[in-house]
Amino acid sequence: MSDASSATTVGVPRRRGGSRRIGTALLVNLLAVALGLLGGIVFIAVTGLEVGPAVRAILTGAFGSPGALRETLRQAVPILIAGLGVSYGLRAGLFNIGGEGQIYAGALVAVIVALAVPGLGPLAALAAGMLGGALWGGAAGAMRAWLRMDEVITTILLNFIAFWGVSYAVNGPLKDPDSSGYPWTVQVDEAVRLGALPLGPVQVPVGLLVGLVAAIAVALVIGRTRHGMELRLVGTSRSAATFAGVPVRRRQFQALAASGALAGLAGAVELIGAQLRLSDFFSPSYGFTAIAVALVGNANPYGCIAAALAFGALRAGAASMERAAQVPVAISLVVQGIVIISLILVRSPIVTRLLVERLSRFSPRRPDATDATGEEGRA
Amino acid sequence: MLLDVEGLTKRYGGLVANDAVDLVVGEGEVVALLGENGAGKSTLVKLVYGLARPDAGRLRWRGEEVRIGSPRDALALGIGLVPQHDLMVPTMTGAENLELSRNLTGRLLDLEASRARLAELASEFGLDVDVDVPVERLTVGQRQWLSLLRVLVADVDLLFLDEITANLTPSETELLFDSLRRLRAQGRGIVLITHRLSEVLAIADRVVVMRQGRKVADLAVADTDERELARLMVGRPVERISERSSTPPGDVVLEATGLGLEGEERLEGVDLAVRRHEIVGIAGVDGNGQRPLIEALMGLRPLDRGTVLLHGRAVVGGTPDRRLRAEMARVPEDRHRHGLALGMTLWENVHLGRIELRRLTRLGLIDDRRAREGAGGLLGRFGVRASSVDQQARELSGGNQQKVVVARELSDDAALVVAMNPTRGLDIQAAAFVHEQLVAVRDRGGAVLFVSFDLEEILLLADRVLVMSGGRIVGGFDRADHDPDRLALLMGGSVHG
Repeated sequence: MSDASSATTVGVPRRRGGSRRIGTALLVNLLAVALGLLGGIVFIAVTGLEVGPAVRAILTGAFGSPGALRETLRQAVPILIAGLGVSYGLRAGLFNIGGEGQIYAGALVAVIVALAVPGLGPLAALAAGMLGGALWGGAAGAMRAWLRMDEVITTILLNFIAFWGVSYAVNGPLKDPDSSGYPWTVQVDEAVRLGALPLGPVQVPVGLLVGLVAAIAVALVIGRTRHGMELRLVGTSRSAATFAGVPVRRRQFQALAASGALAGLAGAVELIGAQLRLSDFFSPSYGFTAIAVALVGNANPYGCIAAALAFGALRAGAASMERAAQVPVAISLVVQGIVIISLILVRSPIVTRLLVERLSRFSPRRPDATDATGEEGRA
Repeated sequence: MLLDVEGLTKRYGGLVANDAVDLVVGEGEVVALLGENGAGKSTLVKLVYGLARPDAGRLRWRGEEVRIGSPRDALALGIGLVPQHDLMVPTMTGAENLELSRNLTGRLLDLEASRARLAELASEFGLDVDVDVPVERLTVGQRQWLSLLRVLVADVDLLFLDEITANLTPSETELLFDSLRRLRAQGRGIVLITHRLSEVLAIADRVVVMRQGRKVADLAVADTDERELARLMVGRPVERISERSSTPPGDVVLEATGLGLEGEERLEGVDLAVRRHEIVGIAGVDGNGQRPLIEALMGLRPLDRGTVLLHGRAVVGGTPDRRLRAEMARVPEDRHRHGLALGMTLWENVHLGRIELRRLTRLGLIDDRRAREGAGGLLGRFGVRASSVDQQARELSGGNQQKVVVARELSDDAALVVAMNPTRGLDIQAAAFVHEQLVAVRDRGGAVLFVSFDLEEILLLADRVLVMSGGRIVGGFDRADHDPDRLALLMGGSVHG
C-alpha cells in the first residue's frame, strides 16, 4: 500500500517481454496459412488434377534450384516492402488496402524520373517512387483524417484511378515508340537499375536488401520513436491519444502517407530491380498479396519478412507448377485468399465473442461484471 | 399489495450493491426511492425489472412469489420501467419506435394502430408530443414523454421511473407529476427513483431512503421534511483522514471565469479559483455540468464562453496542448477511454504524453531500457501490482489500472491536479491510496481540483467544497463550517447561495 515495498511490485525483465502473446499470434497465423494450403490442395483435387505432382512442382519451383531460389526472393521483394506499408497503417489503426494503386503511382513517378534524368541513379528513382506512393496514400490519409472518409473505401477506389492513369500513360505519352504495340515504356537506363549480388550460387536481388533495410527502419520508427509510439496510441485508442495531447488527425494522415510511400517504394524497386519498364500489367496484384503478408506477419516488420518469403515461395512455386503440372497459377491466389479470410475470421470480434461464450459455458463464471466499461474503439 | 420485495441482495465482486433490501408498493401509491449516486437504487430497479438476478431475497407480485428473469417477464406481470436515458432509435418516429419495441415476435407492422394508441394516451395524460417526427428532433422532455407513453401502452400496473426528472425543466416536471397523479388515481403503483428532495415531498406518498446498498428508512411523506430526508440520505460524515493543511492557501493557480457550454449538459457562467495548498472538491448529483466542466478544464472540449487561466496565462481549449500537460496533471473519469491505452504496455502507458520521454530519447530513438526502468520504479513507488512493465495495461485489475494513471499524472509534480471521480470503482484500500496521493500534492504546495459524485469523498478530502446544480455553482463553503444538511439541500437544488 505505502512506499515501503519500493520498486518490488513491478518487475523490469531484461529481455523484451510479451513472448507468450507473440507465441499465440504466431500459432494462429501458422494455422491460417496451413488452412490456406489445405484449401489450395482441395482446390487442385476438385479440379481433377493430381495433387502429388502439383505440390512437388511448387516445392521445386520455389526451392529446387539456385534459379528457383532467386525467383522466390524476387517475388518476395515487392510484397515485403508493400506489406511493410500495410503494417505501418495497421499499427496506427488504419487499413490501407490501396497498396496496388500506390505501387502503380510510385512506379509511375519513378519511371518518369528514371527516364528523364537517368544520371541521378537508383536512389533518386526510389525516392521518386516513395513520393508517388506517399501522394496516393496521403490523399486517402487526408480524406480519412479531415473528412472522415473510410480509408478502406478510398484506398480501393484510388487503386482504379492509379491503374487506369498508368494505363493511359503507357498507352500514350510514355509509350515506347518501338514497342510494336505493347503498352509499356522503354527500359530504364543501365545506370538506374538495381542488380543482384551473388550469395554462393544464388543471385540475391539488391531489391531484397532495400526491403530488409526498410523493415529495420519501420521497426525502429514504430517501436522505438516517440512518433511511432503516438501512431500506436492512435491505433489502440483514439480517445486516449487525444487525452495524451497527440494530434490524432495529423498522425492518421502521416500514417497513410508513409504507408503509401512504402508501397510506392515497392513499385520503384520492382521497376528498377526487376521489370525495368512500366506497363499496364506491371503488378500481378502485389498490393493485395501485401495485405496477406502484413496480416500473417502480424503487422510486425520482422514477421513481414518471414511472411513475404513464404508468399514469395508460393508465387514462384505456383508459376512453375503451371508450367510443369498444368495447374493454373491462380491457385496461389486461392491459397492467399483463404489465408486472409481465415486470419480475418480468427480476429473478428464476433467470432472471438462466440468462442468465448461457447467456452465460458463450461466454466461457472457469472456473466455480469461490475467495472465493465465496454470495448475500445474501432479495432 | 402489488409488489412485495423482501431481503433482496446483490453482490458485484466484493461490492454489496443491495444488502437485504425490502420494498413494498401498493395500488394507487407513489413511492419515492431516494438516495445518492451509488446508494443502490438502480440495482434494486434492475433486480425487480429482470435486468439482473438477485443473489438472495424474494419477490412477491400480488401476493404470489415470482421469479423475474427478464424485462419480458416483468412486462408480462405488469411491471414497466421508464429508463433514465431513453432507448429509442433517434432517426425513427415515436410511432415507429413503439412499433419496433412491440414487434419482437415477427408479426406484420401495424403502424397506424401504434400511432393511434400513442396519440390517444398522449391526450389522455396531457403530454404534448408529436409521434410522427423522428425522435432526434424532439426535446429531451418530449422524448421522456414518449418513453413514458411507450410503457403505458403495455398497460402496466406498476411503473418504475428511473431519475427521469433529471433532464426536465420545472414546468415539465410539474406536467409529469400531473400525469402521475392521474395514474395513481387509476390505481396503479408508481416508484419514483430520485435524489431531489422537493420532488419527494411534492408527489410521493411514501419514501424509502437508501444509503450504501441498504434501506435506511421507510417513512410516510407526511411525517417527514427535507431536513430529515437530507440527513438520512447523506448519513453522518466519516472521520477525515486529511486534516487541513497547516499552510493557508497561497497564490491562485487555476482561475476560471464565466465558463459556458451549450449542449445536452450545459454550463452557465461557472467561476472558480483554486490556490496553492488547497483541495477544492466539486459536489453535486451526476449530470449537473461537472463532466463538461472537467473536460473543458482538461482541454478535451472547447468552451463556448469564458476563460481559463493557469498561473495567469490563458489556456487554449479544445485539445490538450503540451504546455498544459506539463503544468496540469489530469486524472480522467474513464481510465479505459482516456487514462490508458489498454493494448499498450505499462511502461508505454507510464510515458504517454509525458515530457520526460524527450529526455529519454537519443538520436530520435527512445532509450527503452531506461524508460522501462523508470516506469518500473515509479509503478513500484505507487504500489502497482504487476508482474512486469511489459504487461499490457488491460491485464491489470481496475484498482491497479487507476494507480498507473495516478502514478503517471502525479510523477511530474505538476502545479495543478484536476481529477474526476478519482476513486470510482476502487476498493477501500486503493481509494485511500489515491486520497493520500492527492493530499500529498496539496501538502507539497500543489493545487487540487476534483469532482466526485460521492459525498463522503468530498467531505473527506476537500478543504473547500463547491456544489454544482443545473450547470452552475450554486454554493460553497469551507470545510471548517460545512454542514451535511445544507450540502444535501444544495445538491437537491432546494436552496441557492
